Amino acid sequence: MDEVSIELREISKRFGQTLVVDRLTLQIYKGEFFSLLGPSGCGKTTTLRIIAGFERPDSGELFINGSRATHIPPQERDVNLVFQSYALFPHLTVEQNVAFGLEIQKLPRAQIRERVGKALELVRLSGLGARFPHQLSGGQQQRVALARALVTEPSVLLLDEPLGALDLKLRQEMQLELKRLQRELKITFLYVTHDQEEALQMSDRLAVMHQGRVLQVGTPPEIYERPATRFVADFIGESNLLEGHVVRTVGQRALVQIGSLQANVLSDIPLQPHQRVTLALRPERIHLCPPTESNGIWTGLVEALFYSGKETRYRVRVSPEVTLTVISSAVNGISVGERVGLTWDLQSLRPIPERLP
Amino acid sequence: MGRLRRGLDALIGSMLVLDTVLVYIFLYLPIGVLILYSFSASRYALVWGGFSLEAYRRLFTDRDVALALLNSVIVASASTALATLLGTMLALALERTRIRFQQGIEVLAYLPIVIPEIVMAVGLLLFFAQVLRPVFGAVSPMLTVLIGHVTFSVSYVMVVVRARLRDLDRSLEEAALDLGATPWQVLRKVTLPLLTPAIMSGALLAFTLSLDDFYVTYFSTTGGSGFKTLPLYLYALQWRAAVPPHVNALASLMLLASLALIALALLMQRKAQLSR
Repeated sequence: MDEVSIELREISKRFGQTLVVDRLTLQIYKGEFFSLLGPSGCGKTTTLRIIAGFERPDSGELFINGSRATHIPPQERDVNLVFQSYALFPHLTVEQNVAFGLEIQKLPRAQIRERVGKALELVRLSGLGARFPHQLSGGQQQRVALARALVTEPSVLLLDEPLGALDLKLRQEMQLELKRLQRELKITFLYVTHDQEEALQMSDRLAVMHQGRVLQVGTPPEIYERPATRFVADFIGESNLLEGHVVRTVGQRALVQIGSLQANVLSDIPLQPHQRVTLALRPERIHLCPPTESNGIWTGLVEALFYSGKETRYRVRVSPEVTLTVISSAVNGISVGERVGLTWDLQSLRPIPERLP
Repeated sequence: MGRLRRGLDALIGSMLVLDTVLVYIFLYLPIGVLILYSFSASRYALVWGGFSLEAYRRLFTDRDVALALLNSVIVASASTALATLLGTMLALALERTRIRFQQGIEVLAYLPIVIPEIVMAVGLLLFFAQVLRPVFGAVSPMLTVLIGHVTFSVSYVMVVVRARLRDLDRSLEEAALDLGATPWQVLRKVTLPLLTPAIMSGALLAFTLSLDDFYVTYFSTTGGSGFKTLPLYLYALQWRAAVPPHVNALASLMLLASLALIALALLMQRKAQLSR
């Protein structure tokens, strides 16, 4: 997994006055399922279009498979893009759509037919080759777009929110399908999405983007368990963010004062006494217990409760200035107005190294 | 109150129907009379003399009519071909490139549609008399008429093609590039096939406009050259003391041809929308 497939070095892109991509540096390895995750307008699609060759960066360099590609036109790049709108050619049949790239390469007819057949088989669309795109369902169109992009065997497949237009069930089905394809073909997938759950489930690694910059790169557990910024902590899943200052440190342990409360923190970043610090605590990592139990870390008053079947969300006031969101799947008969104790594993309470953004 | 209201509503309703009927009569009565009189047996166009196909027989045996028809078809075909090529190129250029003075150039491309045709016609006359003839010598009137027709047809083709081009999803062309096609291959294999219905309906529009044009044609023949298209032929006939009845037959057939062309253009647009 060490060979680099795509490398961006200090890539910047402006549209008018807006800096859409801001000194972006990223390495994507061969055979990796890599996601660019961020809210709309964070620059992820522009980054993808820079890699595909449809946008030219204002500065910085792009390397594809080790060679400089910054100024190479899109038709000469060994990457194929699956468009959000699928961009199937409406005047061509499914077969002709898939054959398009091979015909450009002027391969012999027999070989084109064979490879188109295989590609359609790969996306499970055999038998629909003679149809036109408008005669297909959204999910089928999506598969044609995939087959068309894969048939020329690019070293990297770029996917721009490819599942955005599908309904939930079809989406989940296609997620599995994409993972299967990527495993079978062993090519690099660069996947753009704003859906954090999708990114966590599918990716080997992902980059969280915000305002044109990469905030954090890592495996899904790294990103989820150790968010590097407040934005990441809040955008990926949910976090209780607590502002406080360090009282004292002993080795990797620190005691942090949050208003009138105190909490022990296990930190892998160096902390100094009196330093201001933001702590992140996942709602589902907090456990509720009777307030009298001695292992309760804090106690609080249940102010609100939202039951949704598979889980219950609680808003618990632990001090005049702090309320925590708690998510629990246990059925425990707690009701609004009750006092509860709250506990969590020491490593669940994470200091966030960067205060911005 | 309720009854009065309902009575009033009914009255307004029937007045609207009446109004519609009157407007349609106003629009189509002259054409209906024209078609009716084309079947008249009278020797004069403006007199009814009983039913007969004599006017049509005379029309199809008249050498002058045949010549005018031939001229019209040649001019219309050639100007359509040229205007379609130029108009499509203009549409692609205006829609797909960023150039300096974009807005000004766009306005200039639309202008021939809005400026009065007589102004175009007089301008062309001046151009032919003061520029073309001094530089190239005597030019065939068919060529000057052709140039005249191209000048106004280009804008119409451009408008139709450009509207379609603007609707075209840019990512289709990007997808083709992405799959390895050169810009020229993208144009040939994706853009032009998708534009074909619009190009065809632009061409039909240009053909119809050319076939029926009078002002530009009249001024472009630079007076008394004897070159006549069908509209010029009709115009010349009506100066005679007794207008011959085959004028009506000719006009009726031109109407039929225009309707057929328009129907064809609509059909193409329909087909293009379905395949989208």
